[in-house]
Amino acid sequence: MTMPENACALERIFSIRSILKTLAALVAALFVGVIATGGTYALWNKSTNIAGGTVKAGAASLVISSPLTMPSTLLYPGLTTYGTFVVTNSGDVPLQLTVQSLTGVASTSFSQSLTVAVAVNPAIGATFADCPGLASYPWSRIATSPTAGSLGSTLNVGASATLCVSTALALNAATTAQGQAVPGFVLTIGGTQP
Amino acid sequence: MTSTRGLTRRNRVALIAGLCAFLVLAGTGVASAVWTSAASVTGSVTAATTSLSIVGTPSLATTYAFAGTAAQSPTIVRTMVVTNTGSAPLNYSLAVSGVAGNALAPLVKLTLWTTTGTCSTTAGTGATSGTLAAPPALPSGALTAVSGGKFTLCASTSLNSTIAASQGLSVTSTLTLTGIVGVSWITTASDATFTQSVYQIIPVSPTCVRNGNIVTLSWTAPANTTGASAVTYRVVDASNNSIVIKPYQAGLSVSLVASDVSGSSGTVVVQALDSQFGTGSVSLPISVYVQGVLRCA
Repeated sequence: MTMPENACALERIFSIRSILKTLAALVAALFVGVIATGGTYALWNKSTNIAGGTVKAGAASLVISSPLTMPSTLLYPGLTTYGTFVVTNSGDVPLQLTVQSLTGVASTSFSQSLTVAVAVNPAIGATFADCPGLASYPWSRIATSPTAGSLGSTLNVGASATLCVSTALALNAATTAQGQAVPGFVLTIGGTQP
Repeated sequence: MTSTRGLTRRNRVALIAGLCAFLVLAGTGVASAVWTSAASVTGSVTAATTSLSIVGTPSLATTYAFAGTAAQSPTIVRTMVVTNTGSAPLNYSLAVSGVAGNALAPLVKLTLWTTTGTCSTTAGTGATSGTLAAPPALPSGALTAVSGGKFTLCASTSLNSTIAASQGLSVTSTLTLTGIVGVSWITTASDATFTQSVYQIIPVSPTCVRNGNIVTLSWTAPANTTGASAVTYRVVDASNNSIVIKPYQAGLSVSLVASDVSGSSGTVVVQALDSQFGTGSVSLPISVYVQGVLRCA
């Protein structure tokens, strides 16, 4: 065997070794990747045939089953009024309730001193008369700064809940707020799958 | 040994391993989408307004005229009606303006009380008292009112002085009612001003007429005397009232001769005295002089 032939054979050996190393690295990477994804990978299997069926996607659906009723009482500094409405989870998954938005509020000396708060009243058949007694209102905002927030409550599938809405005018409301109104605010309640 | 083309073997291995890990992780990833839904309701809120009225304060106008001590002062009882004409409840307070530095205001006693009927001459339960200069707090029944609330506020005044000591004093006041809710919602109301004064007989305006050596000063009776007044007049030296030229008498004229004014400055006044109430007045000065006989200037 001449030296060039030996060199060529050696190169082939190294090339094969390189391919093997690459394959080994690939296997190792796959192993690491699978392990990193967590879960179990038991290999028990059993199968049976079933009759043909229909697979249908579920849906999240939150509906207003009773509209908001606010009292006609005029607000003055220090006064809080309460209204209620009812939401129903008519979808297929439980929903965590949030206040998504409060819109339709122009910035006036009245609205700048107006606090709007929302709470879920856990009592069955609750009315607005029950609203003042609630321990807390998880969502409470100045009407002109109504950032979204959680109501801290989950509505099960098919369940309904009475929501209390309070409106309060600050004691230090400007005198120019007298007679002003927020004629049509829109309160949007969101439901999110937990 | 290194590859003659492209990546080194070590880098190629690392690249393949990373690619495999990415593909595995991406292929087994958990879906991150969640189902959501939303629903909206609408509502409205409106702010109240504040306003009020007080009616009847002008009826407190009076002139005190009585004999004797302060205890004999008549008590003036008047009715005022306070109404919350706004749509918010109010806390009330009362102030009196026009009394700063006034000499009579501290001498006028002011008493307030509420009633569901008519205001009697006797202050009701819970009455509060002060003066026009330092008015009393509102009585308990007049401190608050709901929207549309109305009540009768009784006010009585009397003079805590004698006519003689305070005659001629006068004060024109305004009772102002303030209603407040919260910190800044403040409204005020007042009726017309009213004047209280203390009776003083108005000065006479004598005329001077000479007839020979006699000068006659004559005048008409003051127009503001009361029916029971017994007014008398005297003539004194204008610059020294202790120099009495003619003593008190009831007539509406006096006759003077030169000897009457000897020792006088030549300028005289007529003093009127309502002895029943202890009030008097002094006329404008009248100058006389002697030139042979007494003459009018």
